[in-house]
Amino acid sequence: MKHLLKRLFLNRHFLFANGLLMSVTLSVAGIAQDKSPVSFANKAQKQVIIYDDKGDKQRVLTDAKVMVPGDTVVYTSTFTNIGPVPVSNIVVSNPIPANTQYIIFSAKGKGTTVTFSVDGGKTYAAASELKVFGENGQKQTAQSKHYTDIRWVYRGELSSGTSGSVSFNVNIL
Amino acid sequence: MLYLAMYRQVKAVKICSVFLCFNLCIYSSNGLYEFLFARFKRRVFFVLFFLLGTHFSLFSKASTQAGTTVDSTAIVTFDVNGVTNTATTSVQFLVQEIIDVSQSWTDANNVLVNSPANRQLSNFIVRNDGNGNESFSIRVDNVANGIDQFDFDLINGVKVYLENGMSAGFQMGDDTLYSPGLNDPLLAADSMLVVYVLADIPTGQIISAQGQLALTVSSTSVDSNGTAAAGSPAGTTLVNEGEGGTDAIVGASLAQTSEVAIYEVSGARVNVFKEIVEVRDPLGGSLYMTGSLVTYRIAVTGRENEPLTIVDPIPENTRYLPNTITLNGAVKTDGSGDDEADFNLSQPDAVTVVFANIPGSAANIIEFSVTID
Repeated sequence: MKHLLKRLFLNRHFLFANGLLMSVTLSVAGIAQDKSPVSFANKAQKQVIIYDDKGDKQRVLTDAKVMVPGDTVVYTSTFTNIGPVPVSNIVVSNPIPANTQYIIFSAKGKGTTVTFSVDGGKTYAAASELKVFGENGQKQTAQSKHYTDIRWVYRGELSSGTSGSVSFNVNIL
Repeated sequence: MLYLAMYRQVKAVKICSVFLCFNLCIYSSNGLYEFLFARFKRRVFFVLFFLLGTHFSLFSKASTQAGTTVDSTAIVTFDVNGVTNTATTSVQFLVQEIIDVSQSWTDANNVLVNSPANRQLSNFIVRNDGNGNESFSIRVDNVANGIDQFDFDLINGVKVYLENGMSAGFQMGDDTLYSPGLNDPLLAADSMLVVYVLADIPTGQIISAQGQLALTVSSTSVDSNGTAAAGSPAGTTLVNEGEGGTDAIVGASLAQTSEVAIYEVSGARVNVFKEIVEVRDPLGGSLYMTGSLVTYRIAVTGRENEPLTIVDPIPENTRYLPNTITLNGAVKTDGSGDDEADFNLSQPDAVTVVFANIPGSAANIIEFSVTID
């Protein structure tokens, strides 16, 4: 029972944290903002690991204001079809921010296929297929520190009134 | 003329280079003699690295400087009715300052000293592990009795110097004397500072006695609410105390660090105090004249549990009065081998007292008498 209450508390905390968006700016190219059929927003939150009274690890997202080196930041981009017709061929891309490093396996997005770039977004491939030149001059599989960009390809259409989101985590260097 | 000689029996010592140095000091006012005996161990220290400058980066990659803006821009493309559109959205945050500091005591071994001794050097390195410029105060404390055997005079006997970056190692007159609150060192992010402590060793400490000095380095940041970084729980926010318009966050070090230097008494100081305690002339008075009996007292204060031999040749124009040697009030024979003392056997025309294992605390009193020729 105590455990359940704790989880409830954590969920409330999570919701509260979600409400604290950092300085989000929205700009739309190609279509005037007020006529855009897709609203698009992203946020940065700090991930904090706490331990509940059972000693279990809990990940909590908090206000991003107090980011310091070593912290884990969770970026979440949400796209919502606010227009009357379905939207297709949705592709979200996000360069790994400067002064941060992508955390392996953290890129997520329901209904999306995730690929990565090691060349500043010129080309994308699945993680296992990305190659970089190692110190010995030989090609080797890229590690997360080599990633420069992430891309999510949404499979299928996004019907009117629905939304999707993608996220990834970085460590502040 | 009276003179006193002392020999030291040296145990087999470690293979590492050890040499003995006899430093003899005699002064004869009031018939007092003091012999200083000093032993210095020479040790080879392997210096891991010398520091050429006051500050340099410890890490190949420094952490992100406080005040840096981290910008993330996401782009979405999508098709509506066959027309491709693009939208972007950005989020930024400022990297706040984290205050973290660490420290090392860098002497390879306990600092070996005599008792007493002045200005004995120990070395520390302080590192600013945070991501912003930070000012630190330095404090020196004695550690609790029981952990060590002696304390330092923190007011008059301990001084802290800051490496000024001109040349590696401590140089008196070159490096900067530290005064708390007046020249608290400002360290750039990921930089380090060499700190020297010069400590006077108190008198009267026995061999192997240890004195420990704790060097505590604390962030001086205090915000307008009065919240001090040093000692606050990790994660405490100091409003507007960070670099570049940020807040400062107390890191895992709690914005302070404490390390202990260990001083260990190693060199020996043996005090030998010789005096005339009685003069009895043939006429019943106390004048020095032919036939007067003169009784000497030698007080030997050992500082170590090691062998020590006192040899006191009988002065010219006097002769030893047989069977007058006493040690701590107990009569000793003139023969050798039966007790600690002898006359004219271990050394010619001299009183010799051999301490197999001299007690470290109380003085040992040797007395004997001579007559003036």
